[in-house]
Amino acid sequence: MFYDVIVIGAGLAGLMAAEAARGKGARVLILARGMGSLPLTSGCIDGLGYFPSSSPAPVPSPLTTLGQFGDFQPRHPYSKVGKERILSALDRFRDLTRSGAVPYAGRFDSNFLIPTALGTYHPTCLVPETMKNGVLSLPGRVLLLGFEGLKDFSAFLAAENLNLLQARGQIAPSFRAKTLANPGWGGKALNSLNLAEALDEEAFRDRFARQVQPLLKGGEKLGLPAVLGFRSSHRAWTDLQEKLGTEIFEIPLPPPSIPGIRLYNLMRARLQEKGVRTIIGLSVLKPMIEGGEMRGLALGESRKSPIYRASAYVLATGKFVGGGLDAQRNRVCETLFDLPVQYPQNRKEWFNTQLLTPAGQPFNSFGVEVNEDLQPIDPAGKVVYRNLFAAGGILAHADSMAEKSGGGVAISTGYVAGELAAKTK
Amino acid sequence: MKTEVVVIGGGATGAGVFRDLALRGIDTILLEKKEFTSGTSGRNHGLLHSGGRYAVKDPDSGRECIRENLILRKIAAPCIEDTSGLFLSTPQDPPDYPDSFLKACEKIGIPAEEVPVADVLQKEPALSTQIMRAIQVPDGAIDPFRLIRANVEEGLQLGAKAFPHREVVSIQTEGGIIRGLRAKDSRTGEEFQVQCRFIVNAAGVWAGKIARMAGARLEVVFSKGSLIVLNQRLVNTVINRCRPPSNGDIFVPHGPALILGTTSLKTEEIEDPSASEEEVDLLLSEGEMLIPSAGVTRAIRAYAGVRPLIGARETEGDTRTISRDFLLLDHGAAVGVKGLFSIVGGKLTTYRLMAERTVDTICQEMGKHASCTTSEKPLPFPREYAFHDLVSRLNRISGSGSSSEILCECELVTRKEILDQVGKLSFSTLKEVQERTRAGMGPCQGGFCSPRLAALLAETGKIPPATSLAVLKKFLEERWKGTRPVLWGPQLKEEQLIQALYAELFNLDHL
Repeated sequence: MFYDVIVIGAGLAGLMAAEAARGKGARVLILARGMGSLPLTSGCIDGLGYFPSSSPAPVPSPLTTLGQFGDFQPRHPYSKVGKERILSALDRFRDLTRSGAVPYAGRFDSNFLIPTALGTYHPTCLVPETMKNGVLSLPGRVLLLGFEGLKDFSAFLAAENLNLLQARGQIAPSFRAKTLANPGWGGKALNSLNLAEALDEEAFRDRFARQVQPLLKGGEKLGLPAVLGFRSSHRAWTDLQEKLGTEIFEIPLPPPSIPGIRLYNLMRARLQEKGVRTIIGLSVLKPMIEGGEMRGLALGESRKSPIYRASAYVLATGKFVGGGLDAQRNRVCETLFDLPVQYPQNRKEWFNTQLLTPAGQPFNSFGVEVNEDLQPIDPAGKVVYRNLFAAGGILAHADSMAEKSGGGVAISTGYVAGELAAKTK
Repeated sequence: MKTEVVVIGGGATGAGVFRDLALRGIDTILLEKKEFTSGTSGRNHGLLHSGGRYAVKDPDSGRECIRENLILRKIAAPCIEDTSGLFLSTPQDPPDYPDSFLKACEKIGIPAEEVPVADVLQKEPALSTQIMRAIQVPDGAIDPFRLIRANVEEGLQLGAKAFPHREVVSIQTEGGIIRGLRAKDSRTGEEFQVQCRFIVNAAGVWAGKIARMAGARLEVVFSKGSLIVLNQRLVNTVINRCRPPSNGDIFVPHGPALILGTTSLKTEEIEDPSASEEEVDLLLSEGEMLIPSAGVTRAIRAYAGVRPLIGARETEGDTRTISRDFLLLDHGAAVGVKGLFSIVGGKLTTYRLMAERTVDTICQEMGKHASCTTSEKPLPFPREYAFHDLVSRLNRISGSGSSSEILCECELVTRKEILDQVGKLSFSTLKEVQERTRAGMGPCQGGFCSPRLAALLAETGKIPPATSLAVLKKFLEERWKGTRPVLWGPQLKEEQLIQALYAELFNLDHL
C-alpha cells in the first residue's frame, strides 16, 4: 500500500500533521505505538505561559511575546515555525474542534489562568468550553465539588489553596468545598472514567443535579473535576448548567485525563471520516533508507514483514515518555532512525538539582535538531533525509513543561510538518 | 522535665537503649532531632548480617553479628525475611579468598557451607554463569523502620517517653557530673529543659557534636555508603561477592525490590548525604559481575547513608579498613564527665547488643541489679503485620469485597490503612506516612500518591492546609535527590511524567 504521507505517532503533533496533510489532499497513514500523550495532558492547549521560562509572572499574551522570541531563542521550534504559521495552525485547530463535540475557547493572543486540582493556577490559551467559566480573572463565588473516592481531586485542598491565592490578590474568585459521598450508581469503582461515562447519560445527570442543587448557594458557580461526560461532554455541560441554573466549569485532573482523551477521540474520529487510516499498537518499526531518503517502514524484522511506503514521513514520536527518545547511562538516542540528538555528555548536566524550578529541566529540551522546514539536520546543518519531517515533543530546544507551551508547539509544528510533507513528491 | 536517663538519637542504637532501659524499669526519655530512623539507621541496605562479610578481616564484628542474627530472628521475626545469603566468587576475585572465608567463618561460628554452583544457578537464574564458587550463609533482609518503631513503641508502652523533632542544644554539667540538657523543638523553636543523671549519646554521626556539648571528646570518622534500589527482585537470596569488602558487592532483596550496595567513601557531609552519579555507575558496573541484568534493570532510586566509624581520623579515602565494631565510651572514666556514655559504631544487626552493653554499664553505675531481657523478649509488632508482600495484599484487597480505595497503586496501600496510621501521628510529614505504610515506596516513588497523601493530611487536620503545597514540594524535592542519580531508561521516562504532572499541569515550578 502506498501513501503520500506516513505520520509516526498519534499524539497531538502527529494527529495535527495528519490533519494538515489530509487537508492538502494527501493520502495519509498514521502508525503509532499507543494512544499518544494526549491522555497524559490537561486537554488545554498551552501557548506560551512563561517567557523566559524562569520569569516569575505568566505572560499576558503569547502572541505579543512571540515578537521577542526569535532573538532570544532562535533554535526554539516556535522560532523555526514563525508567527504566521503558528497562528494559522491554531486557527485550524480551533476550527476543527468546533466541528466536533469538544469546542475550544480562547486565542493565541491572550492567556487564561485556570485552576488546577491542587488549587494552583495554570496559564494556558485554548481551553475546552467546559473549562472556560473557571477562568480565574472572573470574580465570583465558586462551590468546588469533589467525589468521595475520586482520589486525585480533593475539593477541600483545592479550595483552601485557591483562597490563599485570592487573599494575596492573585486571582479573583473565592472558593468553598463540598464532597459528594455517594453519587448513586451502585457498585462500580469510582474513578474519573466511570464518572465521565455516567455523566454522559441524561438520567444520571438528572439524579446528580438533584443531589447538587441543595448544596449550591444563590449566585454560586459550580467547579467540578474534569469528568463531565466522555462522549458528549459539551452537551453534558450545557445540560447540567441548565438543570442547575448556574455556570459550571471543569478542572483538569492528573492522568488519565478525560479532556485529553476527548480531544484524542475527536481528532481520531475526524481523521477517520476523512479517510485517514490509523494503525495503533505497533512496537517494532524498521526504517528502510535508500539514497538519502526514506523509502518505507517495515513492520517487524522478518523478510515477510509488511512494508508501509510513502513519499514523505512525519516523525512525531514525542520525548522520553512518548518513546521518541531513550537514554542509557551515558547516551541519549532517537529511537526510530537514530537521528542526531542534542544533549550534554555528562549525565550530571541532564538535570537541575532542584526538581521544581522555573528554569526547567535540561532533559525536557533534548531532541532532534531541525531546519526551518522541520527537517531533521545533522550537526553540520545538513538535512538527514530529504523526505523526513519532525514535529512536537521530539524537537530539541523547547522545555515546554517549564514554559507551558506543549500544546502550541505540537499543533504548530505538526501542522507545518504535515503540510510540507504533503507537498513532498 | 525530669528523668533518670536521656537517650539522644532515634536510630537503631538509641531506640534499642530506650527499650532496654524501659524494660529494666529505669525512667528514660528519648530525644530525636528529626524523625525516628531518619539518620543512618534508615539509610542502609536493611541486611541482617550473618557476619560473613567481616569474618576474615574483623572477626570480632563477625562473631557479634552471628550471635545477634540468631537473637533477632527470635525477637524480631515479623520484620525479617529469611532469604539466606550467598558469597559468590567470580573469575575476577582472589581465588584463595573462598577458602580463607570458609575457615574464618568456621572459627567464629558462622554456619557457612559451600554449595554446588550448578544448584545455585538453578535456584537463582539471574546470577552470572561465570561464578566459580558459592558459599551459603544465614544472611537475611530486615526492615529497619519497623524494627526501630517496635523498639520505641515498647518503651512507650512501658511508660517511657520518646520525642521526635527535639534537638539537643546544650548539656549541663556541674563539677564534672551530668545535670541535664536543653533541647529545642525544631518545628516551633521552643526550648525546654530536662534534668537527668545520665545521658546516653546514641547520636550516630552526630555523636562527636553531642560529646563536645558536654566538654568531652569523641572522634568519629564519617564513611558514606551509597546504594541503589532496583525495581525487580532479580534474586530471592542475599548475594555477596566473595572477596575482601569493596564497592558494589552486595544485593539484598526487599519486598518487590532489590537493593545494590555499597560504596565506602570518607565524607564530611553528614546532614544530607546523597549518592553521586559516579557512585551509581560504579555500583552497577560491579553489580553486573554478579547479576548481569542488574545494569539494564530499572533503577528507581539511589541513596546514601553515613556510617559513624570510630578509629583514626587519619584514614584517607576508603574507610573499610576501620573496624565496624562498636565502642561504648564512659566519659566519666575517660575525661571526667560523669554520667555521659557514648555508644557509637556497630551495625544495625548488632544494635541490641550495643544497647545491652550500654544499659548494663548504666545499671552498674546506678548500683541497680536488673538483668537484660531483650535477647529473649520478642518485640511488639502489630498483629496483622507481615513483610510487605504485594500478592497477599492484592488478595486481601480484592477478597475483602469492599471497594477500599487504593491511594498508592505501586505498593497497594489503601486509604483506610493510611488513615489508621495518620491517626497515630503527632506530627506528620509525607515521609513519616511513607515509612509507616510503605505508600510511595514503589516504582513511582510517591510521584502519583504524594498529592493524595498531602490532601489527606490537610483534610484530617494533621497539617495546616496553607502548608500543604510546601509539604508536598519538600517531599518531591527529597524524592528527586534519590531519583536523579539514576536518571536514564525507564526512570527518566517516569521523571518526565513527573514533570508533566507537577511542572506542566500543576505549575508548581512557578508557584
